[in-house]
Amino acid sequence: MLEVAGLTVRFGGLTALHDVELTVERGQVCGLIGPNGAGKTTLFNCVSRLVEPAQGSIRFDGVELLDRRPHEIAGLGIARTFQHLALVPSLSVRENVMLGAHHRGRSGFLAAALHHPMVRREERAMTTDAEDALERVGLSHLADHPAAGLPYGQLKRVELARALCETPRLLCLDEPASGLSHGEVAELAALLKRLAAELELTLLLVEHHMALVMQVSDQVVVLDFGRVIAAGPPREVQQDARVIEAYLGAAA
Amino acid sequence: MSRTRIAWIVLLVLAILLPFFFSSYRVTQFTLVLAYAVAALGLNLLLGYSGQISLGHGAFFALGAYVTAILVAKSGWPHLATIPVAAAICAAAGFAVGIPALRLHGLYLALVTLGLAVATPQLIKRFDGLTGGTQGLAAPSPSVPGFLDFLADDQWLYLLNLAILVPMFVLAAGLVRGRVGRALVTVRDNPIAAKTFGVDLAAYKTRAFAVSAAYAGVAGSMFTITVGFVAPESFGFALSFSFLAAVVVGGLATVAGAIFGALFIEFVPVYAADVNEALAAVIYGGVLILFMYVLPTGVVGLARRVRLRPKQEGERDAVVVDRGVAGGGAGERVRAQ
Repeated sequence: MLEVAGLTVRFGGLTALHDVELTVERGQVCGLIGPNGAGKTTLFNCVSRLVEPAQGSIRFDGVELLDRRPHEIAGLGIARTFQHLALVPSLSVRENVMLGAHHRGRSGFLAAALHHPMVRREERAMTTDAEDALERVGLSHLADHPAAGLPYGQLKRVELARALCETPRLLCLDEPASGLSHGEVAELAALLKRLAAELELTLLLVEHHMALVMQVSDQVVVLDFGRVIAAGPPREVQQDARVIEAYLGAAA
Repeated sequence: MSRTRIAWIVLLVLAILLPFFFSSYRVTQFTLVLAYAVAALGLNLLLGYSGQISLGHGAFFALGAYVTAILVAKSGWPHLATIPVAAAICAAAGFAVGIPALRLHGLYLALVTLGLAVATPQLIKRFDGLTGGTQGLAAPSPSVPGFLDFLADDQWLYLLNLAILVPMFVLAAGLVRGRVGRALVTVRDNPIAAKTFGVDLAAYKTRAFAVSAAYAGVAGSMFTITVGFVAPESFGFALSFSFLAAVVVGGLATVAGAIFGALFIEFVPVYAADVNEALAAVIYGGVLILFMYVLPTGVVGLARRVRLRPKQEGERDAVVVDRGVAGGGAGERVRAQ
């Protein structure tokens, strides 16, 4: 479903990604791990078209993403969350989630200014979609709350709901477990598994929380200094000598 | 019917009755408030919602004022027919400024737009064949139509301007809510994230500029209709600062705030001069400072806080949302908080 080939990204003299190859099959949960600065978020940013690679290709269902503009990515069926939250504090939780449905709307400045009936119709549909997404992550009771002022763990779930509201086929999660308590991580693992099954999602997951990655992933890809050093089922990767040296070994 | 809508209707009724309770001099001042309110509303769409600053909205205001004056004085157009022309020309000009603004943020954009404001009086003088140069250009205000002959001139002009203002506010109210409004505030608060859920950043920013400039242009037309005369010294760069003050005093990212802001920039200098002619500017400046100190979120911001108390006020203060995203959330954050 997602095929990354020969992807190289340079920031000035620094090569953040070096000839990266990565394939994620439909319906798979792919964990992307590696030490800080390994290039995981940069890879996400390439998929989101926020970072321009020097060379390579990223194909999603046969479509070359690098030929598309950033705002077209959501419409292709790719949603993402951010490592640090990217919510709008002045909007309510529901409105933040409705942002996910933005790419499905067709009403523009003129229709909005003229209070065209289409605007109200779209608004109703978006509200329903947002409420569905909030229910899936268990936050329905907070829909009217301003996004500002909620605990971090809940804000992360608001972001997850917004990404779900984009009705993606590929969902990219950048450190969904960071800043969560032990109990919350366990809940998150269960939630991700359930969502992936119910919504037939393909997941690409950047995460430092090893237990979570190993628990939910079908495939784990290890990046170190911008290169893929190992890829395979969690059990194999865990035993790979290079991975242990680069990552697990360093952490121990 | 929602409470907000009732409040708007009450406000509108009061606004319609207002010219029958004040002197002619005061009514003309209130008429200018209407023009300034439209300009402030336009600037607020740009600054408060899309998060782009302009210190040059006086230039679009002048452009609108001169379009109306020239069409009325030289081509004999009816006043109202010039408004769509002023809006369209200013929208095009705003769009043109919006394109380089895509690459300029914060202070840089402030300076570039300030350049527009500073250059405006000189440009008007330069094209004196069209604008009348330093002499100015007379475009007499429309006279009271026969079927409304019970109205005095100033009352008629006030109500005419009010009739222009109301649809401008209705249009803006539609714009700032729903999909477009949410996208605009996201462009302001989190432009990078906005891209990832499908907001075309460049399109939204340039359109916001165009709409905002069109509002300033319509306000300029209202000014000409009211005053009946345009001259370069009416459009110095202080005018642009006044609009900025009106937006911030009224409350960033609010529609109603424009009215309070316009009242402020029209009447506070007048009353300051009443208190002490020699110290008028000092008093105005002092009041502005005091105002921002007491009401950092503007008049409407205060009203919202009062309404939210006690349920959410405390929670609102404990903002833990990290606005920076991968690569750093670029863009201006000119916010009152």
